[in-house]
Amino acid sequence: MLYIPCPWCGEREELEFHYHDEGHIVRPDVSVGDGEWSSYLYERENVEGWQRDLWSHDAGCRRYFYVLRHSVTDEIGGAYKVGEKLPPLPVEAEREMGS
Amino acid sequence: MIKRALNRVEGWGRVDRTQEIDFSFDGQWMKGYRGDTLASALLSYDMHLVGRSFKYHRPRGFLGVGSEEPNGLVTWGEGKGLTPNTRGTMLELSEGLKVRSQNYWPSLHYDVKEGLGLFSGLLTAGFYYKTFIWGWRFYEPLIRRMAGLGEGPREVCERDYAWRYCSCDVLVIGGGSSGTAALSELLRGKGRVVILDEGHTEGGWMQGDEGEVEGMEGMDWVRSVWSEADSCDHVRVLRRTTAVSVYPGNYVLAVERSDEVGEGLGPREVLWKIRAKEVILASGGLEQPSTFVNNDRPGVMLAGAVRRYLRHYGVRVGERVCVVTNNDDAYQTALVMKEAGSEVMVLDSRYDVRGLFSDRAREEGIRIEEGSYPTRVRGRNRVRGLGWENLGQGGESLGGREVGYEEVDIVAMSHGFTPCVHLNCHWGGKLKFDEEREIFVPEESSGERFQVVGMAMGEEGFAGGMVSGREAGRRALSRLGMGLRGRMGMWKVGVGGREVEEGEGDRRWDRESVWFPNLWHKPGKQFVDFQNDVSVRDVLLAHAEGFESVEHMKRYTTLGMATDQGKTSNMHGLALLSKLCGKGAGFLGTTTYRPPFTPLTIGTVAGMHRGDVYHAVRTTSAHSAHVEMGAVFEDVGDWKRARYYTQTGESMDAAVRRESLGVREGVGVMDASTLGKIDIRGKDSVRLLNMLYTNDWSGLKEGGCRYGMMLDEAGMIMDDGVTARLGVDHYHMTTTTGGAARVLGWIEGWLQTEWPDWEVYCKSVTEVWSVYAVNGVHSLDMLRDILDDGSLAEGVSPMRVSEGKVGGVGVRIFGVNFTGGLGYEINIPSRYGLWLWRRILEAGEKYGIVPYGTETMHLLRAEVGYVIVGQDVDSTVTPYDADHDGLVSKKKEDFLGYRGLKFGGLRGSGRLELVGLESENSEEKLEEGGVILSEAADLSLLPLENEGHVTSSYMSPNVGRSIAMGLVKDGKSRYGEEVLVGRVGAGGEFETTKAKIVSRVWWREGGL
Repeated sequence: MLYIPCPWCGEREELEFHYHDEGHIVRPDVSVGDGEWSSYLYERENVEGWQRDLWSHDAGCRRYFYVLRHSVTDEIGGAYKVGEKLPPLPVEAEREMGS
Repeated sequence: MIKRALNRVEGWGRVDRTQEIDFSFDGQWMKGYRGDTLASALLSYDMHLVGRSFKYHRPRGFLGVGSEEPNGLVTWGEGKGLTPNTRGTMLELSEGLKVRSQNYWPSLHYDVKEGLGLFSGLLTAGFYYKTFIWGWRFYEPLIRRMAGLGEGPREVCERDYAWRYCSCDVLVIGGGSSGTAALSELLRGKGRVVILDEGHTEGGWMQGDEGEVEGMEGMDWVRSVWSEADSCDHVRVLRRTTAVSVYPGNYVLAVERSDEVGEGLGPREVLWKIRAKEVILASGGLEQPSTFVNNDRPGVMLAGAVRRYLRHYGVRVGERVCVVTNNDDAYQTALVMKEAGSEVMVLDSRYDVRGLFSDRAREEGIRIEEGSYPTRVRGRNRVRGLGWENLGQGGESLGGREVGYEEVDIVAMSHGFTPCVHLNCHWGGKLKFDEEREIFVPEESSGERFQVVGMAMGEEGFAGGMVSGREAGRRALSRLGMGLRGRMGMWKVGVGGREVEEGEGDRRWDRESVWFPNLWHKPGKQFVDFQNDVSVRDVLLAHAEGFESVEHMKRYTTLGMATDQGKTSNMHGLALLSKLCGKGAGFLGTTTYRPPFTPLTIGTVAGMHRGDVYHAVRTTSAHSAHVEMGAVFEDVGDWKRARYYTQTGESMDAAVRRESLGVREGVGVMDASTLGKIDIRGKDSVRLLNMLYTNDWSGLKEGGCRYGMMLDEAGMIMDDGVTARLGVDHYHMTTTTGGAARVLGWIEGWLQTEWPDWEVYCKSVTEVWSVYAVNGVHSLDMLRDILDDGSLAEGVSPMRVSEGKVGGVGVRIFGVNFTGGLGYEINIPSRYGLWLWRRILEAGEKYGIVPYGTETMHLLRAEVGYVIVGQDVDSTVTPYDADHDGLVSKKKEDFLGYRGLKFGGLRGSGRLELVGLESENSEEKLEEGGVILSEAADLSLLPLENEGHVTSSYMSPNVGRSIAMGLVKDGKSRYGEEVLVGRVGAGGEFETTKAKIVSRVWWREGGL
């Protein structure tokens, strides 16, 4: 079970949270065609590796926020609030440190 | 009858012989000692036959000594405490313990089902699928009676089970030599440590193995470390505790048999939920059996178990022992059994045997037959003798001719050890196959915070296991910033009085793989999986039928699917299938390891969550009054809602008839407090409503109410309700009872992620207000009577919210109702809810007020054609489909679902649309869920085209006939047409009835 660092409350058990979707899905303008709208509704990156999740702390502060999570190992690489500058994914951070 | 425990040897064992314990097995009373398990106590009486096998009812005895045991399952306790399928090797002896053997008829020693012999032919792999494709109804009861384990208890156990939560810095799983070595380092640090071991005594294999640490006998050293831990404040010691599953993030579930058999006041079992920053897994190794004909006879045991019974429990399990091995470790058993006075010989499948223990065995004059492998065991309820063949230099069969035979009563077999990696794999840790040693070991890099040590990591030697344990302990502490000072000192570690270097000198698993030399030419059963009765032949059959994936083979043969999770069978099954496929033993990989490691009782899983506290229940403030008035409740989400009120035992139909007539003709009241309520404030409130609802909210004046539907972004109906404007920037939203939480989450999600700059605040006020829906022609009369200022009742009008006071308490009156006709919903702060409910009933008495439940509410709203989200419409239905076209604003340029509604096809023909339905026979109630077919449908031509289904159906006393609603293909343009509604008749046959498509509104009344 995950241990999730809520940016408002600190580390808590996964039980207190609710996973919603991949993070940063942009709602397109309503003038787009059926294809683009259905891709907004149904198509997801589903990456094998680090990704940005949208979670909410339902049994706590009830805030929505983003979590960096590795979809294979379930490692948690941090969390950040809506509107905050996007922290790099852990792989990107590693790459930067390497270069 | 055996009277004396002849197998108990003086001077051996660590059980407390000063404390005798009486217990019974199948009604026979016997004595054991404090520290015994049922297995050791029975074996002290030389009782090897303790159960019957799952499918073939073959006699079985104890194979092992711990949780790996596949055979020795027993039922213990009586009545409410009855517990089946417990491993006799794990069941600690306690005074008065009553144990029964399982799965036999008529007696353990003579089982008819085995005698019949019929079944072994039938019950091969895949037999269900092949034999009983036809006639399953006939065979099933027969098979169910035949196969099986113990019987479940028939009474509810009244003892407590508990959950406990715990977090720690380091968790050590396993208290064998390497786990204890890790503990000894952790004791020197300051971190909070939890160590657990599944035995009632710590030590693991150390209980039976030779070894010295710092001049102390191995077990004495283990116990000294544990007793130090017992007195340490920062260490929690959990004995009798099995880690059953490990989840990502070092979240470990463990079951403590805290007072399993006792009558104490504490819980019987505790489910520990442990969150550890660091985990050290020292789960040891699992000794593997050998495969030869009749390798399941009572008296055939694992070599390591045989010596553990002797060295730990002082029980010498037999007098004439044949050790069957392909490794050096099993020679320990030969040595120790000889020392205790047994006659011992060894069959070793290898040639030119050299090794720490085998060299000593040779010096001791133990007979060793090299290059030999068992052919078959003689004896039925107990081993009588063992024959063997010679193998070639490469371990291959030379034809299987029996070259020797010896009368023995114990076969102590060892096919080497396999690391016990279950817990490493639960959370996703990977394995790699070690080609040389033919074992699967955890990959080193598999988790920074999860270290595997000792035999579980494939460490072969005693000394090496200790070092890996100590290093892991130190590494954990240093990663936690609690590192120990100084370098790790060297320990003097010895085996058999000889000092050994780390990992050198005692390669105990030094084995040659001899995989199934006698596959083809032996009649009789060689078991791979003892608990599920899977033999070598079953695996051959599976392969012959084309199963080449381990997962498929597992499911086809059921190998490894028993309650022992294949601890003594999986590896052989995998190796055999790989060999049949012409590949190396590890080629096919393993099946997936899934929790739990050992079975856990349902009681433990449930913990305290049973009976009244099984699940949280929400009740309204007037709940007690409903109970008094004979309400029958239904569950709506977590809420208990009054479904109808039964007077003097009337049926639901009668109650609904009485209630619905009473509301229409006089006045009725329903508790509607469960309705979701959200208080919305802020200057962007109306902007929010305009995005949430399909209709336009810009024109709603203060004091006004409006009905709205919410859609998801695909344009499908999500929820509905009435929202009132209480002030300039203040709204009161209502949702469906079941949708309240979802809607609030939905709103918050949009506000927090898409529109974070909007100034609008939402709060759930569902439980702040009690709501009573008052309906019927006298509803306003009654309101006038209870309001402090009765004249205010004149201000109550449709779709308006007004305020007043009852008994000095402020109330809000919403001019809305869900039943049609005159009615309103009166809201009062919840703490006055019960009081107001009683006040309304009192005041309504002169009008003949009728309290009504949800069932009547459903009927009344159907009479006026209102929809219930979740019943008549769901997330496949648009507002157009629901016949609410007018509710979709044509002016607005966006709202949630706006773009979804424009998807091609959503407004064309072929959609299911909501309409009314009337059966041809007005007395006949259509079946809810009944399929709708075209009137011209030819029932003999399959498949029939489905044209929709009935969503709601009632018998309406007010309308004087049955009424129904349904989603019908192109329904809105088919009014007046006839359709067929299907249902399953009493005899199971499909029948249809005629119905007409009509408008949804059956009842109208002037008024509000």
